[in-house]
Formats: sequence, structure tokens, C-alpha cells
Amino acid sequence: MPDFSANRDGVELKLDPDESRLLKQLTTEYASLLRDERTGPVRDRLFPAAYDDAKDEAAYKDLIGESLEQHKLEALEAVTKRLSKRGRTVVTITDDDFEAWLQCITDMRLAIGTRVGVDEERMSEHVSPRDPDANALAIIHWLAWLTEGLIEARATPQPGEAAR
Amino acid sequence: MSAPTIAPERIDVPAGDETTERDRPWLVVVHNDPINLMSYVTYVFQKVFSYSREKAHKLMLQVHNEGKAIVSSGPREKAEADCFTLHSYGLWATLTRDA
Repeated sequence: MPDFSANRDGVELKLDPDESRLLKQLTTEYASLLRDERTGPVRDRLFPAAYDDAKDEAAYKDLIGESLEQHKLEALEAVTKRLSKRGRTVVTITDDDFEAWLQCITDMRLAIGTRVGVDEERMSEHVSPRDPDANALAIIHWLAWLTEGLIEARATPQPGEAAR
Repeated sequence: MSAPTIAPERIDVPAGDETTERDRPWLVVVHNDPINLMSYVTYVFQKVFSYSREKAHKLMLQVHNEGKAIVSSGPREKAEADCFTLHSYGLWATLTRDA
């Protein structure tokens, strides 16, 4: 189970070796997806249309160019650079990298969830081991746990208010 | 996090009633999706727009319960920058013109 704690340098994340390997594997898969999967529902979900109108949308896509893709690659790099050492299981996520971690983990959840085609009902149900997508769903939930753990660890508790 | 690197200027050719056109702000709409976490969406609204937790939470609930919510509005360039930032966070955001 991941363990989170905030310190002066940022948020410290402790992962089991298996979790560390899983996260590394997921980032590798996500990197190839960003590189190779140029069309389809996953691409559309990670790079949504801003406008209904085709002309407005084309102008917007011209305007932003590659910058959203570049942003996602940089966020991915902020994650993978901490996972590069084999077997490393204690990761410090600095304040500078914090948003990038949340964004990258979220994109990985979106990619897996879109691929599997989840809906709200399926997301809120207990994952049955007999579900053919049980692995993917378990990974989505594990990444959700990571996201919430990071947000909770970083939030500064206010007097009379629990840290979230 | 770095600011969106989109061009700050856009030249719009005024059409018809110029003043009215210019006064109609663009709306940034966030749509419900089954994957993003409620806690995360609230966090993003606080982080991106500096909204209070109460306001961010209320907007998140509106997205969740009604399927979408207007989260910000303004001139086209600002709305597009907001939309870009929300896309970088994985939120499903679109732009529409105020009626």
C-alpha cells in the first residue's frame, strides 16, 4: 500500500517494490500511447475538442499546436525521472513536480478507463475478479488512491479542519 | 506548473454589432466524466482558479449532478487558456459563447 507524508522537500511517497514496478510499467505504456496512438477514443479523451464548431476547433488546435502534447510529455517526464532507478521505492515529489504527477496519473487513469469503456456505475462497484477488465479496473482504483493520497498529504491542515 | 504556451493574441474580425459581440464573454464548461475523482476535480478548481474549497466543491457537485457546469468566463484568449489548463489536468472542458 502506498504511504504518503509531507516534508520540507515535498511529498514523500513510499511504494512496495511491486507498486513501483507497476507504476514504471504504466508510464512506459502511457509514453508509447502518447507517441503512437494518434487517433481514437483515448486520444480524443486526452486531447478533447474545445469547440463544437469545426472552424473554431481547427483555429484553436492551430493556436495551441503541440503545446498540450508537450505539456503531457513533460508531466510524464516528471514522474519517470523519479522512477528511473531500479527497485527504488521511496520517491520525493517536489512542489515543482507535484501538479505534473497529478496530471500524469490522471491521464493514465483516463487512458485505461477510456480503453476499457467504464461508466459511473462500473467505477463505483466493487471489482469482481471474474470481470474480464478486473486488472484494468484495479489499476484505475489504485491510481485513484495515489491521487487522493498525494492531495491529502500536500494539503496544509487548517485549524479545526482535517487535512484533505 | 508552467503556464500554457499559447499565443497571447488573436485577431478577431468584428462581425455585425461590434460592441455586442465583444461584450459577450466566452464560457468555460466542464463536463461530467465517469473516471475523474470528485476530490481531484475539486482540487483542480481550487488550484487553477484559486476558488475557495466551498466554491470549488459546489461547482464539482454541479458537474457531477447536472452533467456540466460553467467554471469560468471571459474574453476568448482567457477562456482558451483556462480550457488548455483544464485539459492539461485531464478535465473534459469545452468553450461556448454566452447567449
